[in-house]
Amino acid sequence: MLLSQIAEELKLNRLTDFQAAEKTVGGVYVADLISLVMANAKQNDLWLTHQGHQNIVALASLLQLSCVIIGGGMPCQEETIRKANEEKIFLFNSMLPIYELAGRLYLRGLQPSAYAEMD
Amino acid sequence: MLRWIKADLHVHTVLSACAELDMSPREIINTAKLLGINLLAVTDHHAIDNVVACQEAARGTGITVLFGMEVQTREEVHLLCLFPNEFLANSFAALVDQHLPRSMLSLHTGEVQAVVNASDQVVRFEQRKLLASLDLSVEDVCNAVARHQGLSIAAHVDRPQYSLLGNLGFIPPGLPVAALETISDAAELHRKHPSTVGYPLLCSSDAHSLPMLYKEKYTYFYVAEDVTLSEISMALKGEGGRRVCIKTEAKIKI
Repeated sequence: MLLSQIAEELKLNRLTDFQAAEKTVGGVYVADLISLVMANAKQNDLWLTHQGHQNIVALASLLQLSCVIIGGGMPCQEETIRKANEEKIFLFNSMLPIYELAGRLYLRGLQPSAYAEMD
Repeated sequence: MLRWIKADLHVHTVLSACAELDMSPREIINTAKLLGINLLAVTDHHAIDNVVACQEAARGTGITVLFGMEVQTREEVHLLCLFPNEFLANSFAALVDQHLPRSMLSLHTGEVQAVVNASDQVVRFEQRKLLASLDLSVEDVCNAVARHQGLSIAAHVDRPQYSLLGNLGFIPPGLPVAALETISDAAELHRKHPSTVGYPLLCSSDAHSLPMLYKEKYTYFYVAEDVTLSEISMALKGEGGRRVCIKTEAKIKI
Protein backbone atom coordinates (compact mmCIF):
# COMPACT_ATOMS: atom_id res chain seq x y z
CA MET A 1 0.00 0.00 0.00
CA LEU A 2 1.25 3.49 -0.86
CA LEU A 3 2.25 5.77 1.99
CA SER A 4 0.49 8.78 0.44
CA GLN A 5 -2.74 6.79 0.28
CA ILE A 6 -2.46 5.77 3.94
CA ALA A 7 -1.70 9.34 4.99
CA GLU A 8 -4.75 10.62 3.14
CA GLU A 9 -7.20 7.92 4.24
CA LEU A 10 -6.17 8.07 7.91
CA LYS A 11 -6.00 11.89 7.78
CA LEU A 12 -2.46 11.86 9.17
CA ASN A 13 -0.72 15.12 9.87
CA ARG A 14 2.65 15.20 8.08
CA LEU A 15 5.39 16.67 10.26
CA THR A 16 8.29 16.53 7.81
CA ASP A 17 8.43 18.66 4.66
CA PHE A 18 11.19 17.20 2.47
CA GLN A 19 10.53 16.25 -1.15
CA ALA A 20 10.77 12.52 -1.84
CA ALA A 21 9.55 9.82 -4.15
CA GLU A 22 6.47 7.75 -3.33
CA LYS A 23 6.95 5.01 -0.73
CA THR A 24 5.35 1.62 -0.34
CA VAL A 25 4.48 0.33 3.10
CA GLY A 26 5.31 -3.35 3.59
CA GLY A 27 3.91 -4.11 7.04
CA VAL A 28 3.11 -2.50 10.36
CA TYR A 29 4.80 -2.66 13.73
CA VAL A 30 3.37 -1.14 16.92
CA ALA A 31 5.50 -0.57 20.05
CA ASP A 32 6.83 2.13 22.33
CA LEU A 33 9.89 0.29 23.60
CA ILE A 34 12.63 0.93 21.08
CA SER A 35 14.43 -2.24 22.10
CA LEU A 36 11.37 -4.19 20.86
CA VAL A 37 11.21 -2.29 17.58
CA MET A 38 14.92 -2.87 17.07
CA ALA A 39 14.41 -6.60 17.47
CA ASN A 40 11.19 -7.04 15.48
CA ALA A 41 10.43 -4.34 12.92
CA LYS A 42 11.26 -5.07 9.27
CA GLN A 43 12.42 -2.94 6.38
CA ASN A 44 9.59 -0.86 4.82
CA ASP A 45 7.40 -1.30 7.91
CA LEU A 46 5.19 1.49 9.10
CA TRP A 47 5.94 2.06 12.78
CA LEU A 48 3.15 3.19 15.06
CA THR A 49 4.24 4.58 18.43
CA HIS A 50 3.61 7.07 21.23
CA GLN A 51 7.26 8.07 21.32
CA GLY A 52 8.24 11.49 19.97
CA HIS A 53 11.86 11.31 21.02
CA GLN A 54 14.63 11.91 18.45
CA ASN A 55 15.87 8.31 18.77
CA ILE A 56 12.83 7.16 16.73
CA VAL A 57 14.37 8.82 13.68
CA ALA A 58 17.74 7.16 14.13
CA LEU A 59 16.04 3.79 14.48
CA ALA A 60 13.72 4.31 11.49
CA SER A 61 16.76 5.22 9.44
CA LEU A 62 18.77 2.23 10.66
CA LEU A 63 15.97 -0.25 9.95
CA GLN A 64 14.91 1.52 6.74
CA LEU A 65 11.30 1.80 7.88
CA SER A 66 8.85 3.45 5.51
CA CYS A 67 7.57 5.94 8.09
CA VAL A 68 6.82 6.64 11.74
CA ILE A 69 3.38 7.68 13.00
CA ILE A 70 3.14 9.23 16.45
CA GLY A 71 -0.37 8.42 17.62
CA GLY A 72 -2.61 9.28 20.55
CA GLY A 73 -1.94 13.00 20.22
CA MET A 74 1.44 12.54 21.86
CA PRO A 75 3.89 15.41 21.45
CA CYS A 76 6.81 15.27 19.05
CA GLN A 77 9.98 17.16 19.85
CA GLU A 78 11.20 19.84 17.44
CA GLU A 79 14.57 18.11 17.33
CA THR A 80 12.88 14.90 16.15
CA ILE A 81 11.25 16.69 13.21
CA ARG A 82 14.51 18.42 12.31
CA LYS A 83 16.37 15.11 12.31
CA ALA A 84 13.61 13.39 10.30
CA ASN A 85 13.88 16.09 7.62
CA GLU A 86 17.65 15.66 7.59
CA GLU A 87 17.49 11.87 7.31
CA LYS A 88 14.46 11.93 5.00
CA ILE A 89 12.29 9.83 7.29
CA PHE A 90 8.56 10.35 6.82
CA LEU A 91 7.07 11.45 10.13
CA PHE A 92 3.36 11.86 10.87
CA ASN A 93 1.22 12.41 13.92
CA SER A 94 -2.43 11.88 14.70
CA MET A 95 -4.87 12.61 17.50
CA LEU A 96 -6.38 9.13 17.03
CA PRO A 97 -5.48 6.51 19.66
CA ILE A 98 -3.01 3.98 18.28
CA TYR A 99 -5.52 1.15 18.64
CA GLU A 100 -7.79 3.07 16.25
CA LEU A 101 -4.91 3.76 13.86
CA ALA A 102 -3.79 0.13 13.95
CA GLY A 103 -7.36 -1.04 13.35
CA ARG A 104 -7.80 1.24 10.34
CA LEU A 105 -4.50 -0.02 8.87
CA TYR A 106 -5.52 -3.63 9.45
CA LEU A 107 -8.87 -3.04 7.74
CA ARG A 108 -6.98 -1.78 4.71
CA GLY A 109 -5.20 -5.10 4.44
CA LEU A 110 -1.89 -4.26 6.08
CA GLN A 111 -0.70 -7.36 7.88
CA PRO A 112 1.43 -7.48 11.02
CA SER A 113 5.14 -7.33 10.26
CA ALA A 114 6.07 -10.77 11.60
CA TYR A 115 2.88 -12.79 11.66
CA ALA A 116 3.09 -15.99 13.65
CA GLU A 117 0.40 -18.58 14.21
CA MET A 118 -0.38 -18.27 17.91
CA ASP A 119 -3.06 -20.95 18.21
CA MET B 1 43.99 13.53 51.13
CA LEU B 2 42.10 11.16 48.85
CA ARG B 3 40.61 7.86 50.03
CA TRP B 4 38.31 5.11 48.76
CA ILE B 5 34.69 5.26 49.87
CA LYS B 6 31.90 2.75 49.35
CA ALA B 7 28.75 4.19 47.82
CA ASP B 8 25.14 3.47 46.97
CA LEU B 9 23.63 6.27 44.89
CA HIS B 10 20.11 4.88 44.43
CA VAL B 11 18.10 4.34 47.60
CA HIS B 12 14.37 4.84 48.15
CA THR B 13 12.63 5.69 51.43
CA VAL B 14 9.07 5.35 52.70
CA LEU B 15 8.23 8.39 50.57
CA SER B 16 8.26 6.13 47.50
CA ALA B 17 4.96 4.26 47.32
CA CYS B 18 6.77 1.19 45.97
CA ALA B 19 9.20 1.05 48.93
CA GLU B 20 8.69 -1.08 52.03
CA LEU B 21 7.93 0.59 55.34
CA ASP B 22 11.33 -0.48 56.72
CA MET B 23 13.00 2.17 54.54
CA SER B 24 13.14 4.82 57.26
CA PRO B 25 16.10 7.15 57.86
CA ARG B 26 17.41 5.39 60.99
CA GLU B 27 17.04 1.92 59.51
CA ILE B 28 18.71 2.91 56.24
CA ILE B 29 21.62 4.59 58.04
CA ASN B 30 22.08 1.67 60.48
CA THR B 31 22.14 -0.80 57.60
CA ALA B 32 24.55 1.36 55.61
CA LYS B 33 26.84 1.56 58.66
CA LEU B 34 26.76 -2.23 58.98
CA LEU B 35 27.67 -2.59 55.31
CA GLY B 36 30.50 -0.06 55.51
CA ILE B 37 28.80 2.33 53.09
CA ASN B 38 30.13 5.90 53.39
CA LEU B 39 28.02 7.62 50.76
CA LEU B 40 24.31 7.38 49.99
CA ALA B 41 22.05 9.23 47.60
CA VAL B 42 18.42 9.21 48.67
CA THR B 43 16.43 9.11 45.45
CA ASP B 44 12.67 8.98 45.94
CA HIS B 45 10.34 9.35 42.97
CA HIS B 46 9.83 13.04 42.23
CA ALA B 47 10.43 14.16 45.83
CA ILE B 48 13.32 15.14 48.10
CA ASP B 49 11.38 15.55 51.35
CA ASN B 50 13.08 12.69 53.22
CA VAL B 51 16.67 13.59 52.35
CA VAL B 52 17.24 16.00 55.24
CA ALA B 53 15.88 13.45 57.74
CA CYS B 54 18.37 10.89 56.40
CA GLN B 55 21.18 13.46 56.65
CA GLU B 56 20.23 14.13 60.27
CA ALA B 57 20.06 10.41 61.03
CA ALA B 58 23.53 10.06 59.50
CA ARG B 59 25.09 12.77 61.68
CA GLY B 60 28.15 11.47 63.53
CA THR B 61 28.27 8.21 61.57
CA GLY B 62 30.69 9.38 58.87
CA ILE B 63 28.05 8.63 56.23
CA THR B 64 27.34 11.37 53.69
CA VAL B 65 23.83 11.61 52.25
CA LEU B 66 23.38 13.42 48.94
CA PHE B 67 20.24 15.16 47.69
CA GLY B 68 18.75 13.03 44.97
CA MET B 69 15.54 12.28 43.12
CA GLU B 70 14.50 9.60 40.65
CA VAL B 71 12.69 11.17 37.74
CA GLN B 72 10.45 9.46 35.18
CA THR B 73 10.51 11.28 31.86
CA ARG B 74 7.82 11.49 29.21
CA GLU B 75 9.46 8.47 27.51
CA GLU B 76 9.14 6.53 30.82
CA VAL B 77 12.91 6.61 31.25
CA HIS B 78 14.17 6.73 34.83
CA LEU B 79 16.95 9.20 35.61
CA LEU B 80 18.70 9.74 38.92
CA CYS B 81 19.21 13.43 39.56
CA LEU B 82 21.73 14.47 42.21
CA PHE B 83 22.13 18.00 43.57
CA PRO B 84 24.89 19.77 45.49
CA ASN B 85 22.62 21.34 48.12
CA GLU B 86 19.12 21.69 49.52
CA PHE B 87 18.42 25.00 47.80
CA LEU B 88 19.11 23.68 44.30
CA ALA B 89 17.34 20.38 45.04
CA ASN B 90 14.26 22.30 46.25
CA SER B 91 14.27 24.50 43.21
CA PHE B 92 14.41 21.42 40.96
CA ALA B 93 11.64 19.74 43.00
CA ALA B 94 9.43 22.80 42.41
CA LEU B 95 10.01 22.47 38.67
CA VAL B 96 9.17 18.76 38.80
CA ASP B 97 5.96 19.55 40.68
CA GLN B 98 4.84 21.80 37.81
CA HIS B 99 5.33 18.93 35.37
CA LEU B 100 3.65 16.12 37.33
CA PRO B 101 0.31 15.14 35.79
CA ARG B 102 -2.65 16.33 37.86
CA SER B 103 -5.13 13.91 36.39
CA MET B 104 -3.81 10.85 38.20
CA LEU B 105 -3.89 12.17 41.71
CA SER B 106 -5.23 9.25 43.69
CA LEU B 107 -3.04 6.60 45.26
CA HIS B 108 -4.05 2.96 45.16
CA THR B 109 -5.39 1.41 48.36
CA GLY B 110 -2.49 0.49 50.61
CA GLU B 111 0.02 2.77 48.92
CA VAL B 112 1.84 4.95 51.42
CA GLN B 113 4.07 7.94 50.76
CA ALA B 114 5.33 9.11 54.12
CA VAL B 115 7.46 12.14 54.91
CA VAL B 116 9.35 11.28 58.09
CA ASN B 117 11.82 12.86 60.51
CA ALA B 118 15.24 11.64 61.62
CA SER B 119 13.60 9.68 64.47
CA ASP B 120 11.51 7.68 61.99
CA GLN B 121 8.28 9.46 62.97
CA VAL B 122 5.75 10.31 60.28
CA VAL B 123 5.50 14.05 59.73
CA ARG B 124 2.83 13.88 57.03
CA PHE B 125 1.53 11.70 54.24
CA GLU B 126 2.18 12.93 50.73
CA GLN B 127 -1.13 13.03 48.88
CA ARG B 128 0.09 13.77 45.33
CA LYS B 129 0.71 10.55 43.45
CA LEU B 130 4.43 10.93 42.92
CA LEU B 131 5.14 8.13 40.48
CA ALA B 132 3.94 9.15 37.02
CA SER B 133 5.68 10.41 33.90
CA LEU B 134 6.55 14.10 33.83
CA ASP B 135 5.68 15.96 30.65
CA LEU B 136 9.40 16.54 30.09
CA SER B 137 11.71 14.65 27.74
CA VAL B 138 14.98 12.98 28.75
CA GLU B 139 16.84 15.98 27.29
CA ASP B 140 14.60 18.47 29.14
CA VAL B 141 15.30 16.76 32.46
CA CYS B 142 19.07 16.42 31.91
CA ASN B 143 19.29 20.08 30.89
CA ALA B 144 17.24 21.20 33.90
CA VAL B 145 19.47 19.13 36.21
CA ALA B 146 22.55 20.77 34.67
CA ARG B 147 21.01 24.22 35.24
CA HIS B 148 20.65 23.23 38.90
CA GLN B 149 24.34 22.27 39.02
CA GLY B 150 23.35 18.63 39.40
CA LEU B 151 24.34 15.30 37.88
CA SER B 152 22.06 13.06 35.81
CA ILE B 153 22.61 9.32 35.94
CA ALA B 154 20.69 6.94 33.70
CA ALA B 155 19.07 4.47 36.12
CA HIS B 156 19.17 0.67 35.69
CA VAL B 157 20.01 0.87 31.99
CA ASP B 158 19.91 -2.90 31.51
CA ARG B 159 16.26 -3.25 32.48
CA PRO B 160 13.90 -3.71 29.56
CA GLN B 161 11.51 -1.10 30.91
CA TYR B 162 11.84 2.33 32.51
CA SER B 163 15.39 2.62 31.22
CA LEU B 164 17.27 4.72 28.72
CA LEU B 165 18.37 1.68 26.68
CA GLY B 166 15.09 -0.24 26.94
CA ASN B 167 12.84 2.67 26.01
CA LEU B 168 15.10 4.70 23.72
CA GLY B 169 17.28 1.88 22.38
CA PHE B 170 20.56 3.74 22.72
CA ILE B 171 21.97 6.81 24.40
CA PRO B 172 21.00 9.90 22.41
CA PRO B 173 24.24 11.51 21.18
CA GLY B 174 25.28 14.50 23.25
CA LEU B 175 22.92 13.74 26.14
CA PRO B 176 24.48 15.19 29.30
CA VAL B 177 24.36 12.08 31.50
CA ALA B 178 27.29 11.76 33.89
CA ALA B 179 27.12 7.98 34.31
CA LEU B 180 25.09 4.84 33.70
CA GLU B 181 23.76 2.60 36.45
CA THR B 182 24.06 -1.06 35.52
CA ILE B 183 24.35 -4.53 36.99
CA SER B 184 26.14 -5.86 33.89
CA ASP B 185 29.89 -6.11 33.44
CA ALA B 186 31.34 -3.33 31.32
CA ALA B 187 32.36 -5.72 28.52
CA GLU B 188 28.90 -7.27 28.31
CA LEU B 189 27.14 -3.90 28.33
CA HIS B 190 29.46 -2.47 25.66
CA ARG B 191 28.97 -5.52 23.44
CA LYS B 192 25.17 -5.39 23.66
CA HIS B 193 24.95 -1.60 23.54
CA PRO B 194 27.88 0.07 21.76
CA SER B 195 26.45 3.52 22.52
CA THR B 196 27.36 3.00 26.20
CA VAL B 197 31.12 3.00 25.52
CA GLY B 198 32.84 5.95 27.18
CA TYR B 199 30.32 6.50 29.97
CA PRO B 200 31.37 5.78 33.56
CA LEU B 201 29.42 2.88 35.07
CA LEU B 202 27.92 2.73 38.55
CA CYS B 203 26.41 -0.13 40.50
CA SER B 204 23.70 0.91 42.94
CA SER B 205 21.00 -0.98 44.79
CA ASP B 206 17.74 0.78 43.82
CA ALA B 207 16.79 -0.51 47.26
CA HIS B 208 13.08 -0.52 48.05
CA SER B 209 13.60 -2.56 51.24
CA LEU B 210 16.47 -2.99 53.71
CA PRO B 211 17.57 -6.44 52.44
CA MET B 212 18.03 -4.93 48.98
CA LEU B 213 20.89 -2.81 50.36
CA TYR B 214 22.91 -6.03 50.70
CA LYS B 215 24.63 -6.67 47.37
CA GLU B 216 27.65 -8.29 45.78
CA LYS B 217 28.76 -5.34 43.68
CA TYR B 218 29.31 -1.85 45.02
CA THR B 219 30.58 1.40 43.55
CA TYR B 220 33.73 2.85 45.13
CA PHE B 221 34.89 6.43 44.71
CA TYR B 222 38.44 7.65 45.29
CA VAL B 223 37.70 11.16 46.56
CA ALA B 224 38.56 13.78 49.21
CA GLU B 225 37.60 13.29 52.88
CA ASP B 226 34.86 15.89 52.59
CA VAL B 227 32.59 14.11 50.10
CA THR B 228 30.60 16.52 47.96
CA LEU B 229 28.79 16.18 44.65
CA SER B 230 31.65 17.99 42.92
CA GLU B 231 34.05 15.33 44.23
CA ILE B 232 31.78 12.65 42.73
CA SER B 233 31.58 14.59 39.48
CA MET B 234 35.39 14.80 39.35
CA ALA B 235 35.68 11.06 40.05
CA LEU B 236 33.29 10.27 37.19
CA LYS B 237 35.42 12.41 34.85
CA GLY B 238 38.68 11.03 36.30
CA GLU B 239 39.86 14.52 37.23
CA GLY B 240 42.34 15.56 39.92
CA GLY B 241 43.32 11.98 40.75
CA ARG B 242 39.69 11.13 41.63
CA ARG B 243 38.44 7.80 40.37
CA VAL B 244 35.48 5.46 40.37
CA CYS B 245 35.32 1.67 40.18
CA ILE B 246 32.91 -1.20 40.76
CA LYS B 247 34.07 -3.93 43.12
CA THR B 248 32.59 -7.36 43.70
CA GLU B 249 32.73 -8.62 47.26
CA ALA B 250 31.28 -11.45 49.30
CA LYS B 251 27.67 -10.65 50.08
CA ILE B 252 27.17 -10.08 53.80
CA LYS B 253 24.67 -12.55 55.23
CA ILE B 254 21.59 -10.97 56.75
